[in-house]
Amino acid sequence: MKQLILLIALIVLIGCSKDTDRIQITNLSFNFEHTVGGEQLVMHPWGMCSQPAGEDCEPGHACCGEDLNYVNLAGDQYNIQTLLYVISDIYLHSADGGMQLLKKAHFVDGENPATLRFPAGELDNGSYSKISFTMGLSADRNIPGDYPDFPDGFSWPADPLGDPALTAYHYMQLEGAYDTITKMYNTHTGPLTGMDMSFNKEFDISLNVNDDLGDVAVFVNMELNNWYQNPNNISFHDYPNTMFNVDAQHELKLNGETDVFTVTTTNR
Amino acid sequence: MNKVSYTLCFFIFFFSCKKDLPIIEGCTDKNALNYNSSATYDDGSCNHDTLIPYENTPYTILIPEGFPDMDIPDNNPMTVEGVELGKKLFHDPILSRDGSQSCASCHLQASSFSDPNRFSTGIDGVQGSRNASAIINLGWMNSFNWDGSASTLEEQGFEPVINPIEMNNTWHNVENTLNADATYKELFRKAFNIQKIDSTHVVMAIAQFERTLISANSRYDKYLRQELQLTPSELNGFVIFNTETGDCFHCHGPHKFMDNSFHNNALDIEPFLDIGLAKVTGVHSDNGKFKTPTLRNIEFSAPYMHDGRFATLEEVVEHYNSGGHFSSTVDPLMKKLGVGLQLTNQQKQDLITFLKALSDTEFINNPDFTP
Repeated sequence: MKQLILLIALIVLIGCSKDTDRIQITNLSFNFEHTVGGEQLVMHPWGMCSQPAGEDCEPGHACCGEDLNYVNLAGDQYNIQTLLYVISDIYLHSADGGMQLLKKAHFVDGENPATLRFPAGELDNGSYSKISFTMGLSADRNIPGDYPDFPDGFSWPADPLGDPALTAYHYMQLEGAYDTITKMYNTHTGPLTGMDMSFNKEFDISLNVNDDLGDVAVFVNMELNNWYQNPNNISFHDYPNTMFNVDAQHELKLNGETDVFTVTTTNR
Repeated sequence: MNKVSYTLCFFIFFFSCKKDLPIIEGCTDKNALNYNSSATYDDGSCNHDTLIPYENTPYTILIPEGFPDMDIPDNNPMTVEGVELGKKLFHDPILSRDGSQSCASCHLQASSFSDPNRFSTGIDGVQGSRNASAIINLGWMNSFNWDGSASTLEEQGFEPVINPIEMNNTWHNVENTLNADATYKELFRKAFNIQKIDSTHVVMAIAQFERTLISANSRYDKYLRQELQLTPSELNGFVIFNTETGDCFHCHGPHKFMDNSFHNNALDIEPFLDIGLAKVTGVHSDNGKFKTPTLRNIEFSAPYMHDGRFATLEEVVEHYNSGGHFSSTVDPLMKKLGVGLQLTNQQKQDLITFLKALSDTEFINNPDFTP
């Protein structure tokens, strides 16, 4: 009889222990990465010179040529000193057609690591097939004052020639120098008066969440050179500043829709 | 017989011992503020009044249209008594070592609480190297001083009192002076329910007062509220301001007319005399960056820039119109570097006219801000 009781206790103990080990919560994190020509973005490239930044790096100095560390399809040498943008309506789609909002809007500052990731909550078991998001803010999302966490400098005069109270938000501020470090470009995107220039992107993923999977990370990569190519070959000489420039905004939108973004998923 | 003798001896011994105890007069009520645990005789001095918390009155900040909510620290809620105390402290030279200077000595209300002098002069006649910033709408700022060396208003308040070139005092002295002042003792009791004044509560009170220094009633604000029409020159200036013609809006955005950020706006070539933000962060790419000031009341807060180098708005506009100087950390938003905005004289004048439409005369004359 004693042996029987011991045996049952052992079975219960081992059984319980196994179950506890096996069930895992799957947390989803959303991450942002940036590349130029496939290489990880290096901002403020002054440190690439042999001289300390700000001491010998003056126009005409040999080291300054190295400060323009990128080249786009148009052949413009350039660097990147500012990268700010917003991604909104970030959804995870289930294979059965359901979708869940991961975040209404997320602001990314390429220089601030805290903005390059956000926790997107726990995932239920099931199959997930798609990630979708909007580059920028759709017209119904681009409401003044709705995003107090966005920096003040990210505001966009929605109607600069008309109602001054009509302010919205930029979609992106991508800035730096081209040709020489004394020539600045400002690739700014945002809504044109009465025109929503944001665009949606969808990416297929294959994610089967079960008790054994563990945490999952989604990586959104922005290939910055692709803002200036495919299908529109954009030179900084044509558009050193893009704000309020209708043609530039349309071309950038088309390029952005084509292949600026890629999405990958990993689990630990 | 023995038992009786022993008992008698014990009582004699007990009472004789008790007689030897010294009589210490004082308050023997443990609930009183001045309870004396050593006292053996209650002399009627117990003070119970101060144990009853003073019910101070919450101060409600009226948020101007278009402004976000003000982020007020949980540990320093606004009260009517706190604001009044902060105002008194702000204007009282008691904080300086020789009692000659107050906060208001270098932050004049008529100048939008800035210093009309290029550099302020401390109690010992020593001048600093930066212009005293305007104290206006600080409740919406997330860093303070030209180099962002303070991250809260409370933190900022600690510095001028002990700065050798400003008030040149010690907080120990300030605390002693204030604690010896019955009026301040009472005001602090009412504001914070404290008996002993300390430096923390001094800066808390001043911060509360500073959060009330809100300016949002300029001609521009009235125009937004459709209470008046801007002149053609002001409107033209606004368009220059708010488009890439002048490109002021990126750093001096709507409503607050500042961006809570730091920029190198091409004032100087390297090496910089003052490295600004980099002094705080230690980061090379922050060299020469300074906090964007609000343009509200800019007409009243001359001179301009971190070092007060420009005496007039005309000089400021001319700086941007000429394009400024290259340096390795110059902001990409200074996109017409070396070339300049190339505004016409009329455009420059219109831009300045618009900037003056940001003047709030009610603010600089508001009696609520004076003692």
